[in-house]
Amino acid sequence: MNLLLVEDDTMLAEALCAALRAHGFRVDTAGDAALARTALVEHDFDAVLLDLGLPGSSGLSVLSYLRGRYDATPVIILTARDKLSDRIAGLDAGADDYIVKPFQPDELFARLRAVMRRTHGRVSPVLSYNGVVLDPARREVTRDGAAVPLSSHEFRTLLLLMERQGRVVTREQLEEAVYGSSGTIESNTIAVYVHQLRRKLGEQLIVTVHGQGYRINGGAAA
Amino acid sequence: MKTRSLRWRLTWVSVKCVLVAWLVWLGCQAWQLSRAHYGFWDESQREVAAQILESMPDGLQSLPRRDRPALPAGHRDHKMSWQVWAGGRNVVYSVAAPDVPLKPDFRDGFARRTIAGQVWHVYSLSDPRRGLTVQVGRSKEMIANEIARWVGLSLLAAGLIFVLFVLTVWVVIGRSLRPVAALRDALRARPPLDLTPLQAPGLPTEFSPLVDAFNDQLTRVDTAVQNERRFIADAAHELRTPLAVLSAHADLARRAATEEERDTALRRLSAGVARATRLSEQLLDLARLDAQTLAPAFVPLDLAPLLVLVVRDFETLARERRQRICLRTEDGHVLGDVDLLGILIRNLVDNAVRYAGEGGRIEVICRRDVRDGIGGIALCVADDGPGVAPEERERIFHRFYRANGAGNAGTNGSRNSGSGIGLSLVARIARTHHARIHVEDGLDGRGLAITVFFPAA
Repeated sequence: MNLLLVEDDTMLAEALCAALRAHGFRVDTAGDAALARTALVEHDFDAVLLDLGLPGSSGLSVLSYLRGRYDATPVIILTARDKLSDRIAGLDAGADDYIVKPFQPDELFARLRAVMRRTHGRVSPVLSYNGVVLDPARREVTRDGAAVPLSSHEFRTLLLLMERQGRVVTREQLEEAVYGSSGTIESNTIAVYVHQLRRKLGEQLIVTVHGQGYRINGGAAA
Repeated sequence: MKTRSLRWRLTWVSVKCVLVAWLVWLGCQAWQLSRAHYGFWDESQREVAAQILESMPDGLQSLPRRDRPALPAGHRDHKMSWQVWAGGRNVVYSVAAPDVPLKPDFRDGFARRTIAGQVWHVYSLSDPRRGLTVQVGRSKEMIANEIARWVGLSLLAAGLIFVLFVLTVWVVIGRSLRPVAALRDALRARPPLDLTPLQAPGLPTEFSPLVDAFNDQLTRVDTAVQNERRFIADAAHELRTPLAVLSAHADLARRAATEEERDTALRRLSAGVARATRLSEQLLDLARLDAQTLAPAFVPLDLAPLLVLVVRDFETLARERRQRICLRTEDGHVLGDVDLLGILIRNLVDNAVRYAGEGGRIEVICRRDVRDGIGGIALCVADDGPGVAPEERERIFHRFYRANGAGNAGTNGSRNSGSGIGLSLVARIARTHHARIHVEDGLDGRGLAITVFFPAA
């Protein structure tokens, strides 16, 4: 597993590297945004750990650079910016997760595993059904050609349903895909996201299969 | 003309007032003068005619004819010209009276005539017994001269009044504003953080609302500054303890004789780091809150996604404690500040997770509700921990207050890491959002449920 750690604080970078290597990851580090971009061009990584407060330019520029190149490599933001609005902005900019410093290394490993699980074996081609087009690499969704803004959680819900068109996806599977959840938290939030998706993309898109889960019915009209 | 100076404004306004008053006065005068027969002009003409007639001696008919006296050029009648006719002769006359009769029909009364290209207003009065007729007339030029004199005089008077007024204004304003200048000098001489109320003896009462408002503001700033100072003192003090714990455990770990001892010390070190971390987070939240409650950015938003984001942060902690968190969001549309509400939710959930204990259950619910007859959104975080006695429930929202024995690690293990900041933050953010807090029993008749109720706007 290859990781890129973008962090300008050498003390933290060294400590994280040691911890990650002890867990069997291979880690490259970059101390600023320019080095990070170079590393991303030259190598393939399985995930990127990205600090936002980099010297010169923000880590968000690295993220938008990545997504602008249709690169769907999972990104976890590691930052001291703990305002909820910063976090929402980071996730909506295409980060897969957002961890606020200081964090327990265990927390980072858990999130890393969840992100890997979520993104493992992802098909990168564009998915479409009935006028709704989802581009996983650019994290864009359009309906009849018009861009539809989705929150990161709505996007992931839709992504899994689109990937498994015609098949029923259970609430647990969706939670797993959206949060990498372990079952400690149970919630009705998937239903809320499905409701939001229907509101934004049309009532007919997602079918509720009572007692089982949800489905985008690829068989009939695709 | 948008000058802000009081003096100039008053001067300008007084110019306008005097001008208007003068015009009105002039208009009244003009009307008074020109009323036919009863007006000043006609009245004076009639009076002059009667007096001349009265004062004429008898035997005027027999006076010998005389030539007009040769007066130096430029002599003329200023106000009126008059003639006394006796036996068809103009026997007595004013200096510049015309030779022809002013009123050739010699009938008593007023008339308007044109004599030598000039319009005249004439009056004739006769005494048939003595065969005398007095004719008094004013030419248009005379009337115009008279009016010009009137206007000139009244303008002079108005000007005098105006000058007096302006002088008074400048002097009075200058005197009245002297305390203001003194106040300004006093303000300039102040040290930067001197926030004692202003003293302004002798200031006109019109200024006292301004000074009062300013003093109010000073008091508020003073409170804020004192809050800040208290915060810094509190923060420094509160951080010392967990840092001391860290240093003690680090020391223990280094000196540990056995693997087991070192392990214990390191585990405690980690726990201490977690505690210091949480404390610094809350202190930061507190500082941010102090800054942000002054100008919160309220927008319509949905609590549901915020709850999801924040609750997920507690997943690891909850798993370690074998707790279950149940999140139900039905409707969470409120007006609020995302960051402040983030702090509120985090501290509510943090409090519940911390107090629910091993294997506990936490419910986070957000739905439409009615409280005290008012509809709104209720955000409720409930746990099944030991709860808080009813008499203590209000105090848990005070800064640095810890529920029963929370500061004592020995007596109650689940409560030892509270900082006493979290719920005070919750209370302040709720207040900023005009939301109300209800504290009730938690799940299954035990524990604690804190509901933040946002009344519908």
